[in-house]
Parts: sequence; C-alpha cells; structure tokens
Amino acid sequence: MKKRLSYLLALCISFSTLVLPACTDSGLGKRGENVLRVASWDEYICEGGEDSYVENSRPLYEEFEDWYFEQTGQEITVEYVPLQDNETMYNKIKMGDDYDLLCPSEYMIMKLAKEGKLQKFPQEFFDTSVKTNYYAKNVSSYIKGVFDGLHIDEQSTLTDYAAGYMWGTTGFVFNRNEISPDIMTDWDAFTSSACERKITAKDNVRDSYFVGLGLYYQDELNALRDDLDRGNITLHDYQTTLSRMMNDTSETTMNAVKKKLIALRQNVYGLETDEGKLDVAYGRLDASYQWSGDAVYILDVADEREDESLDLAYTIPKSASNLWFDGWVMMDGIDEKTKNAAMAFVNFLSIPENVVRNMYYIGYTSCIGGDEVFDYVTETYGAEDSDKDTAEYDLSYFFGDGYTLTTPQEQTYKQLFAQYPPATDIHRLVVMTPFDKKTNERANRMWTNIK
Amino acid sequence: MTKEKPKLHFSRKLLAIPYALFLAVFVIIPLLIVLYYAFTNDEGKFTFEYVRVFFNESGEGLKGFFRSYNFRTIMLSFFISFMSTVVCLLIAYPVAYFIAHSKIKNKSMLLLLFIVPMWVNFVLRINALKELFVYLGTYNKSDAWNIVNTIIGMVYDFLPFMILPIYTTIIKIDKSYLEAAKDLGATPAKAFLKVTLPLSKAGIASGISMVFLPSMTNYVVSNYLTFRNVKIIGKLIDDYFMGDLWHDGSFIALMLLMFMFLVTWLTGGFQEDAQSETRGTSLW
Repeated sequence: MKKRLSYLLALCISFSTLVLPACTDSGLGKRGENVLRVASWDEYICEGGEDSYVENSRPLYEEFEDWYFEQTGQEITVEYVPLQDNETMYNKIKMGDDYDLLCPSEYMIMKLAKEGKLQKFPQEFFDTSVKTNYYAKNVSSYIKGVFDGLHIDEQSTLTDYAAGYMWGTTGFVFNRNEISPDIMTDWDAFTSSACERKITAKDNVRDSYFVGLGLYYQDELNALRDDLDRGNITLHDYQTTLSRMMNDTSETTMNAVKKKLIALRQNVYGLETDEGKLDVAYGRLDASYQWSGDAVYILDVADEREDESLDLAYTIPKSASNLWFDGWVMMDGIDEKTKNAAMAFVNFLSIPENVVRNMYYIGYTSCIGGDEVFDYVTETYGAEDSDKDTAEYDLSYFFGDGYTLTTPQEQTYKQLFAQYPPATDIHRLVVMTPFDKKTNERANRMWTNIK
Repeated sequence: MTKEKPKLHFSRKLLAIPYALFLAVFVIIPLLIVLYYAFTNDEGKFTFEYVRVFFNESGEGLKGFFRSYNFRTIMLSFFISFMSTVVCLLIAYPVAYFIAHSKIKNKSMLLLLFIVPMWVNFVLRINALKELFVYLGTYNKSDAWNIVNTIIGMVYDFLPFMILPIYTTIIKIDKSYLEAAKDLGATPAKAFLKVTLPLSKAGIASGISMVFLPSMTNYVVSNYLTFRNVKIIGKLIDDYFMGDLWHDGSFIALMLLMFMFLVTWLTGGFQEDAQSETRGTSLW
C-alpha cells in the first residue's frame, strides 16, 4: 500500500513539473525570432528539383528567404509545415500550435474568421501602385469577385481576410470508353445503374453532403436553370437561389439528403480521399468524384501511360457544381514584423513567374491571372499547327476580355476543363459555406452513421 | 557521535522514474483528457449527452441502437478482431512451438524470418497486399471478400506480435518438466496438453491482447484493402474527431478502453501468477 502511495506521489510530482509549464507555454513552435511558420498542404508549393518548371531550382519557400532579404534587408526563415487536411489544421490550432500563415480552404477560412482567429490584411496590401504588391496587382478579377461576394459579417468579406492561392471545381473523372458522357452529366450519375459499383465518392462530410444536396435538388436546380435561360429570372436571383439551395442544412433537407446518400452508398464502388486517385488512371475504376487539381494529375498520369483503353474526361454536374479555393490567411496575434513577412510571402507567390512554377508543380490552378499565366496555359494546352480538330476556349472571365485560347478539341473535356471550367458553366458554381457548430454536429453524425 | 556525511543514495527504484514519467505523460494524462471530453459539453459542464447520443440517437432506445450503423460497425469490428486473433493464434502457436523445439542451433535466425517483415513500412506492405488482391481478383469483390481481405491484412500485420510472446514462454519452459512427463508415461500429445500448453498460457494471453486490441482500431488496413467498405471502431473514432465531434469520439474511445480492460481481464492479463508460471521471467 505504501509503495502504491509513493508511486502516486511520484506521478503527481511528475505531472506538476512536466505538464503545468506546458499548459502556460504551448511549447510547440515559438513565434517571432525571424521565423515565419507556414501551414499548408503536402506538395502544395513548388519544391524545386528536377521535375520543376525551372529545372533544379530550390523550393519556393527557400527562395523567398533570399528574396525577402533583398527586399527588406531582414533575415527570415520559413518553416513550411504540410498538414493533412483542413480538419487536422483546425484541430492543431485548437490544441495550441502556433502558425503565422495558413492556407485553408474556403469554408475553413470563413469558420476561422468568424471565430476571430484571423486578422485582416491591411489596406496597403491592396494598394496596386506599390511595385511589390503582386497579389493585388495580379489576382484574377473573377476570383476577386467571388471573394467580395462572400460575407464574413456585415462589414467584412472574404477579401479582407484571405488572399487566394489555388481554386477549382469538383467533378467527375471518368473513362469515356466505359461510361458514356451522356450519363456523367449530373448528380444522378452517383445513383444510376450504369455506374453501379463503378464510381467512387469522397469520404468526407462536406463533399458528400454537397453531393446529397445535388441529388436532392437536381430537378429543381435544372428547372431554375431553364428559367434563367428563358430570361424569367435575373442572374443575380438565380445565383442567390442556387447558393441557398446548395447550402440548405435544415432538418427536413438533411433527412432527405440522408436518404439520397444511403442510396449513393449502396451504389458506389467505395469511398476514398486520396488513395483512389490512381485507380482511374490505371483503368481499374471507371469513374470517380475528384477535386479538379487531382483530376489534372489523374489525366496527366493516364496520358503518360498511353493506354489505348482509356479515354479519360473531366466534367462537372450540370445542375450545380462546387467551387472551392484555398487562400492565405494570417493568424490573429502575430506581431507586425511577422505580419509583413507573411504578406511578402503571399506577394512572392503571386509573382507570375512563381505562379507558373507552382501551377506546373502542383497541377492546380492559381487564383492569379495576367499575361504570363495565360501564356503558360497557351503553352500547355494551346493547339499546335499539326492539330486539325481545334476549338476556341473562352477564358475571358478569368484573364479579361479577348483572352480566348485555341485548343485541341479533346482539351475541352480534359485537363483544360479541369483547370479552367468553360465560361458557360461559371455562373452555376456554388461556394459551400461552413456549417455552424450544431449543423456540423448533425451533419457529421448523419454521415458517420450511414457510411 | 560523528557527523554523517550526507550521501547521495542511488536506489534502483530511481530507474523507474523515466518510465513513470512516460506513463504519466503519454498514458495517464491522455486518458484523463479522454474521460473529460466524454462527459463534458462544449461549455465544460458535466453531461451524459454523448452517452445518450451514442445509445439512443434515433430516440427509439436500445432497439434503435441495435439497428444503428454504429452498432453494426462495433459488431463487425469485434468479429474481424476475433477472427484475426484466432487465425493468428492458429498460425503462431505451431510456428513458435517448432522454432522453440527445433534442433537448429541459431533459433533467433529462424525467428528473425518472422520478424523481418515488420521492418518494412507497414502501409507499404498493406498496399502490396492490396495489389495482390487486385491481381487475384478478390479486391473489393463483395462484402464478404472485403471482410476476408481485412482479416488477412490484420493477420499479416500482427502475426509477429503473436509469435514472439508465445515463443518466449515456450523457450523458457524447463525441459526437465517434459522429461518428467515422459518418464511418468505421458504420450507426447498428453505431455503437450498437460505441460507445454498450460505453461505457455501467459504467452498466449499476451499475444491475444496484442493482436485483438490493435485490430479493433487499425483502420489503415480496412481502408486500404476494402476501398473503405469495411468500417471498424478505429475509423469511427477518427471520423468523429475529424468531424470536430471530440466528445462523441472520446466517449467511443472510452467504451473501447473499457472493453479492452475486460478482454485483458478475461485473458488473465492482470493475474500476477500468470507470469510466475513461466518461472518469473518476463515475456519480452
């Protein structure tokens, strides 16, 4: 008994000496000291090396350190921390990890901003007369418009909090030789018998819920679209209704969505997050639901394999599709010096040359427009003289008036579609806003209990 | 009286301090945190809400729970764990027995053959196994195949954890016991049943707890080998934590923990004499 007591005592002592100090000072990673702690995703910045656009270059975050020294005469070290997903990022912040600059997705940005965990970019960041404000000068007006339309509260929009990094859509990657493009046009592909045990869905609550809403509202959404085409409603009204429907989390809707998702779960081949990516490229799977950037990667891999039996395509559901983006945000509470370095980092990544390097390396589409980026897109997807079957691909919504690309016909349903959705589809893209605490609870329990 | 010099007395007990610290920081405190989250809400107030949600989310009482997907997950998880443990035991015991009794001088080399696979990264091994299933055409073929494949994956992964403790106990059994049994007229089979088997009980118990418990939670295996069509408890907990439902996740983790205690208790893991039967030697 005495032994036990002394053991307990030893535990108590070790507890107080070890843990209590750790509570007051969150231990992991200290702020300041000329360190910029950047939390982002794996393979989400050009890491240089042989396969990069500029051969044998260094990682961009390392080059930034030199660039920053040249610009300001101050030394900075970038600690680039790749994280798994938005939820991990959120949990890490909640557990007290200190980062200065984060790159979460749109809904997480909104969630963090609403919780007061972020700070706004100052006015001087948006001053286009300053030479080094590359972000403000180069960001596509399309992205800027989307950001301006997303309200955090009555006074502020997403523009105040975030600088766009990469963006895209979510849609189907499928093998045209196995599944007809006529089937993969809308959400009901998930529950169609033609796709039975041939298609995969995403294993996360938000993507799935969006799919469920699409299945539930598909007919109404298409009717709404017809109304728009006939001129019965204005574009603004159309988009407001669209956004309201695709963000509907009322209890009745969620119950209906649940039924749709159960049907989906029984029809699909399986769920995945990343590990199913290559199965489509290797012809093991005929269709899957993917983020556009991953779709580009899948299509690239399939191209490299030169497999005759594969004719992969990318498309987005025609009733409504998801628009997503990742953006740079600054954590609340970082000091002025770190803040300047954080803004410089964002601007550095928005220099057209670096944008191209990132796009080449990551395969996702940058939020930055401008001639250099358009030239890169032309270089990658433009038609060559030998191409007979070409199409005009309108990119004016992103790069500005007159920017149209002549591209091989097949690119209109391949990589180019995944990188920049067609101008005709832009107006039916919806941003999914974050769930509030209660809704998140309901949605997660619903999804966890059926999959 | 002469003044005694204050002497720094080093007792062997002090050597236990690093482990006690480790235990406190990585076991006790996390457990307390899990306990805290399981029974408090977001405002930090004590609540049974998550108990209710877990057992009675549908509002139909336990009947609803038995019909729920979560219940299915738990049962399936239990079944997979049970089968994996049985298969592991059936393979591991003969292997351990023959290695321990083999005439080969360098027994550790033989044992190494079963340990070496553990040195290869386990996600890599599971992916390789997936390729094998794809080749054989059993990958994600049907629900039944998914369960079978998961069990194969678990066995592949945890077999060494069953072999090692059993081997350690068998090798330490005094040979004179068996000789005595033989002298007294026992057949080899009888000697095995009456001597070797009871004396290696501790190893079996240890092996069972080292396979059964992890295979309830090792969802990497089920995720990779079934395209997420088999869901086990570990994945359920992960889903809740990833969905920012820490309280729900903690409660299930706690349930699992209680269950593990039960299994350990049933397999005699808490009996001190189980250890002394192998003549006071520890397993590892």
